[in-house]
Amino acid sequence: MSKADSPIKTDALVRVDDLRKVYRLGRVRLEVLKTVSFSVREGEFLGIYGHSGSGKSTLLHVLGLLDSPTDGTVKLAGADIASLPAAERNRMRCEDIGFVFQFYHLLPELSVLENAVLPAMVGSSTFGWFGRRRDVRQRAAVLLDELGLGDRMKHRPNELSGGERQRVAIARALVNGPKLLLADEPTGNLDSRTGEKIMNLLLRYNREHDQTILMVTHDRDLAGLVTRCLELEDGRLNA
Amino acid sequence: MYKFFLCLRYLRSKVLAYFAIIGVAVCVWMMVTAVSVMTGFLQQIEAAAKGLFGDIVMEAGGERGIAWYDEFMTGLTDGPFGIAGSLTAEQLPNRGLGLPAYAFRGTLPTEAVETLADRGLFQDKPVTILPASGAMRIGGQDAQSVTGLLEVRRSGRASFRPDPSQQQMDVYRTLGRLAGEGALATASLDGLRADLSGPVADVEAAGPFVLSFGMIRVESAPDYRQHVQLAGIRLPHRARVTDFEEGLFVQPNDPAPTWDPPLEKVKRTIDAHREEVAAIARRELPAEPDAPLTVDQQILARKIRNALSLQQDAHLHLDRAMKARPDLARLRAELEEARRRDAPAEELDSLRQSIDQVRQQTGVEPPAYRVILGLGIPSLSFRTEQGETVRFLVPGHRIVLYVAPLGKGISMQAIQPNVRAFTVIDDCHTDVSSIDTKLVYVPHHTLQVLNNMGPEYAADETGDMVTPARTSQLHIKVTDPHLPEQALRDVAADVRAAWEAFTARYRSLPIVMQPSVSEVMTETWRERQAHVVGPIENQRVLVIIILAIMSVVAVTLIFVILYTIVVQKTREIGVLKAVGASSWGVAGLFFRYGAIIGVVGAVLGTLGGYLTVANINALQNWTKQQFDFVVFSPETHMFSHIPDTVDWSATLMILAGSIVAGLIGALLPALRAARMQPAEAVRYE
Repeated sequence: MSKADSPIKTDALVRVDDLRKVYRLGRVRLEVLKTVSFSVREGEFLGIYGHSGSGKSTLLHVLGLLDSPTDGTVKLAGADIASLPAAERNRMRCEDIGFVFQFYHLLPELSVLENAVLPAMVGSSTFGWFGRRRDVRQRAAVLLDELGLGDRMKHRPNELSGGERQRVAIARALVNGPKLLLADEPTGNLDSRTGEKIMNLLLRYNREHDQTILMVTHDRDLAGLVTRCLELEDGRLNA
Repeated sequence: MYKFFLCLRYLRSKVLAYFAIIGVAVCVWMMVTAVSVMTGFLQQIEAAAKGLFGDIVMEAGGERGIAWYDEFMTGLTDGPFGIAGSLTAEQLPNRGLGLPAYAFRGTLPTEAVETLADRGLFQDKPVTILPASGAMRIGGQDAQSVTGLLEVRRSGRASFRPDPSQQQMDVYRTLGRLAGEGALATASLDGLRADLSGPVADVEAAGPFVLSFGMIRVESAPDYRQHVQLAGIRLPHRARVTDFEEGLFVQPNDPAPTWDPPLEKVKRTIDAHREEVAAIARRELPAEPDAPLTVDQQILARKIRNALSLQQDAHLHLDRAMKARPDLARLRAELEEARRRDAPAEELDSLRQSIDQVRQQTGVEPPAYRVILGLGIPSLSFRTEQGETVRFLVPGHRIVLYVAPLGKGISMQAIQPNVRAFTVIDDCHTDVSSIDTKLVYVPHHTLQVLNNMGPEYAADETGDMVTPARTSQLHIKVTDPHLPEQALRDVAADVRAAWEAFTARYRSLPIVMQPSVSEVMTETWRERQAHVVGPIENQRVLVIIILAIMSVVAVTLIFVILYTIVVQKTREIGVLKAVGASSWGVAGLFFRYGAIIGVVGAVLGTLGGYLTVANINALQNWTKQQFDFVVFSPETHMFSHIPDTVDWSATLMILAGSIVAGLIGALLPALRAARMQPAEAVRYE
């Protein structure tokens, strides 16, 4: 499903209202997110700034359907994620959301190209995969080429530098053409020059392809580059 | 799709997975090998036991043996039957004190004699005594039915003595009254019926077996002597009771092997064997005549030269015998003709002598004096390293047997062996070395006589039988070859009960004439081989238990390895979920992983087991040559080779079991992977 023919047309791709997330670790009750409300418009590059431990990764996990909210509503493309069946959540994780992690999280057994096509493979049945394998590999190859990894496709992640690995992770996140790209400290593990390059890549995708991006970071300088920036402090959002 | 894909990638990159596969493979391999070999041993024992003495053995304690065995065996398979003819009452000469004795006597029609002959009751002896009953008539009027013992000679002369039992006192009174009136001849007996016990359900056939001891000498090697066991058997009947015919050399798998196979066939078999021996020589020895030989080669060359020259001798014997056949046929025809015209005794004797002379010259004895050698009697054959058998002594050769006559009361000082020349006509192997290295098969009646178990007759003019022909054992075959042990024991008990009923009818005879003077016991082949079967069955159970424990180890191995892999892959599982994989999908991935380890390990193990079992004898030879290490020696295990057929039903179970074990081992790790929270998984460092 592409963005153009999505059944729910709304300006706000993501809408978060009074989101709360509480963890229980034994007898300790930890309120990580306290009534967070905001929305992300289509085509926007939203940055959320916060110190480590401010709850920004948790927020991203809830939005990426990797975790569920304790309270409040999260609407993704108009659908309330709390009411979605597991299969639909799996589909959305696969097709509608792309995730870039701080530590890349590439599969070491797979080559660069295989890592990049993984979400497409996960989303296909065995026969379906044989039908669309060529297309997907083609698309991934174009993406990797754009990201400057055209000559690295057969390499294993452990043969790549940190910046290269993160670019593979971005290719993986984008391969299914997601509506929303979630980036969790994408430059956090990189030196400043490499980090800058990655940041520029994200900005370019946002600009040239209208890619909606939500990035959390603890780097105030990066926060200044995005369309809009919010600050998460102690589980609350300050504009 | 990604499940298979990742599964294969994980297998390729994880050394741990190979350990798991090797673990499973080793378990399966050992199990298939051990279970196949043990099952093979049990089957060999069964085949050997059945080949030697059928399903059930009946044996008399002591060496006097079992008398009236043909009468008993006819009962076992056929049960009672009618006999045509009529007999007249007579008073018997009163020997000493007691009541006067009466019998019904007369001559039975040829038809009746043939009935008895067809049922084999005149084998080994010219007279049969069997329990019978009949209807007594006085002056043509039905009087009463009588039971007793009927004695019939091959000539048809018959005598029926009523049992002197309480129940039949009135028969004796009636006969006494008639004798007093001088009207004994008005009493007659007809409606004769042989009252044989049986038939016993499930008994298909039975045969007698004489077992004795003796020594064998070979005419062409005067220094050779070897003690052997002598087995008296009837051919072709033996093939109906045991699988004896399967191991024959000249008549392999012939359903009706005989002591007199066509000499052409014997010769062809020897010629084929000579070809084989020559081929062995070509393979093992250098082609040039003066090439230097190793010590082993020198020995082999000498043995082969020896064998070929001895085989040539047998060949000549057979040729001479074949050439002499027209002469023998002519002389026999002359003898027959002379008999018919009642020629003088001198003429008959001279003809008989001529026949003997011709036969002597050929060196081939008549069918009654032929033997079948066990293939494995020391020094009469040898085996090459490849396991081929080369015979020194082949059919056509003459041997001399010294039989220790154990069949009659003897004092150890006075034991005089009976000696007779025999012609070897075939050889036989059962694959049980304790049998093949010792047994020489001799025609049943010939051995019976040489063992002093033959019938004996009074020296007076009556020529009455004073001792019946006897045999050592009866071998019984049941209809269903797969009858379970318990059912077989029931049949053995029925046979035993039939024997009790049978012997009870002979009580009126003098003790030496009775069927058996000592207790008779019946055993199934398994009971008889219990000392061999028992330990192997126990060992098999033990091996299965040990291997079952090993399988638990294999399951644990797969479990631990997969669990480790799942823990190692925690973050990647999170990533997979983050890109849309469902919990079941992730579980399926690891489940497949375990299944592949199980299947690949089981298949490799089965393959290894198959190769090991199929080549187990070659492996044994190899370990023997390389390390002088013998795992299995034919002497202790009584078989000449290790069973080398895979027990496929057990193998399929082992195969299935190990695959299931792999799945069980994979189950928990797979479930753990499925339950993993993606948010925690991606945070996991």
